[in-house]
Amino acid sequence: MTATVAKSPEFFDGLVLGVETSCDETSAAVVRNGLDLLSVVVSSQIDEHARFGGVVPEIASRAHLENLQPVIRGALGQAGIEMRDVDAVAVTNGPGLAGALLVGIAGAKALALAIDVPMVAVNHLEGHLFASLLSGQEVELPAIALLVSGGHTMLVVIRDWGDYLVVGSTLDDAAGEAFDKVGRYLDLGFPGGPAMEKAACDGNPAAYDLPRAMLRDGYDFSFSGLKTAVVNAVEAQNSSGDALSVPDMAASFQEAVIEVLAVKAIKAAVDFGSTNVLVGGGVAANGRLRSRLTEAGEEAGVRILVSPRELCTDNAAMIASAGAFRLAKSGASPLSTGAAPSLRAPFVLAQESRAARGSRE
Amino acid sequence: MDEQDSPTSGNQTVLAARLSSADSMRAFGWRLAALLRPGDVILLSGKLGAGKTTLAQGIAAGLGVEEQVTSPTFVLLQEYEGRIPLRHADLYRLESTREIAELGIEELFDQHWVTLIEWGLPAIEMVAACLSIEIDYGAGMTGREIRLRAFGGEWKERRGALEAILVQYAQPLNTTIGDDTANSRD
Repeated sequence: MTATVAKSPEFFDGLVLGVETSCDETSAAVVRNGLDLLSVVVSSQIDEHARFGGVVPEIASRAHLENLQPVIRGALGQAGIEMRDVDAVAVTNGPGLAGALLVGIAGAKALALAIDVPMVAVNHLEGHLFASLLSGQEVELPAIALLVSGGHTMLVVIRDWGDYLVVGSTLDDAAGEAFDKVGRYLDLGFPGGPAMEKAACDGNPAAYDLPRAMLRDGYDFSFSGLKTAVVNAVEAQNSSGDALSVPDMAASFQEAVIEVLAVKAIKAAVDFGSTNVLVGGGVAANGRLRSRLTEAGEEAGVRILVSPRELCTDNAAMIASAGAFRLAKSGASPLSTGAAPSLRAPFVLAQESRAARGSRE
Repeated sequence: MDEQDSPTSGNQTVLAARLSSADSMRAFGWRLAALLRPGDVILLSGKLGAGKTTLAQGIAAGLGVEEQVTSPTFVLLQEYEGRIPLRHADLYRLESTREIAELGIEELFDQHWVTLIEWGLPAIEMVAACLSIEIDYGAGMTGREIRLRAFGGEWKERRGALEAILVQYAQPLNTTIGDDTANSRD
């Protein structure tokens, strides 16, 4: 097995304005030379109206449209630059909700045309891979990336920058989605992720025996059965007459999810000869996931790299960084570029066939 | 569709059946897909963990979708290629019909696609015809009970075929016409 080597991607030199509107957040950021983060603004930070229930106002295209100009102005202002100083515009073109993506793409095209600079389309998932570099961490390749959010749960081998292999993904629910839904089910509000972690602090993770689906079975994930197991356990507890301990249930659920994530991420690192595991997506903010991964990593001789929370969740900084990479690697995108909402979007993420995976395991 | 069949009139076809496992849920969906035509809308509802995505996976497989079908809760809408192309939507994160309208969900209902909507009951007022499938945990939390309600003439004419599928792929429970409040559980 060849040794891993620290390797930084080649970046476009200059100021890249990043724009991200693929799901809930409207975000803009300015990055210099691909690595130097000058500013990042996310709409939820400037939204004065607290979210409540399951309502996520940002999902509507109209909301993205209203947010786009303020977040871009905010990002330019914080970076201390003017629009005319921008050397290129990078925008997420998928995967995501078509209507939401189109708002960002149309805005990015208009800006690029107006100031006569290149525009480059970026895949949101590739963006997440660049978050670790943006936080100043040196990455040794090949590396494993564990992307865990409300919308995605996947394990990616970064063979080189621009050369990725998706080796595992969820077969049903994303990990963050399971956290949010179980959180709401336990009356902890929505999104339930942070509330679940808080409740779990006071709970016994061994109180309820919940399944670890596919724990030793390849790199794919399944959290749907775990969700059902929680519902069954709660119903059984209620019909037994004893009061349910929400902290115990939250802790038991959290432990079940995190154990699977940690075991598979470390297994992938060992199997693919990686010494670095990058962790991104909103669930990376979970403290128990960080500590469990770090413990398992120390045992296996694997370094865990988790970015600061604002770079783990959806943001335009990672899009600007990945855009600077894409510009250097393959040049500007045509202005005819459209939204690519599907995960099948023409992209560099190769999906390893299940047959190939079977043969190695 | 006449007045009598409107989703709110209560005058509708109801079929109920019991399924024993997640695999039988998938098999039922797979077989149901053979009845589907472009333009069909199916609303899936039921509590957390009841098996909406499992049923959607079965239907997608029956439509010839090769890609892994996952929960669309966060992305809200996922499109798949198949014998008939599939749109898989999810209203879990939305709370009002106003939000649904703002998202343009009604634009989903065009003649080229089969559309599955999880947590879809709030959309019932926005569709002219649909099949609603409600999934419940079975008694003692074992197995599942499904309740099919068909709205609109296109679905009424497929009633016989639906019944045949339930006989073959599930254990049919007492079925009724014209009254969805009858106790069909035992």
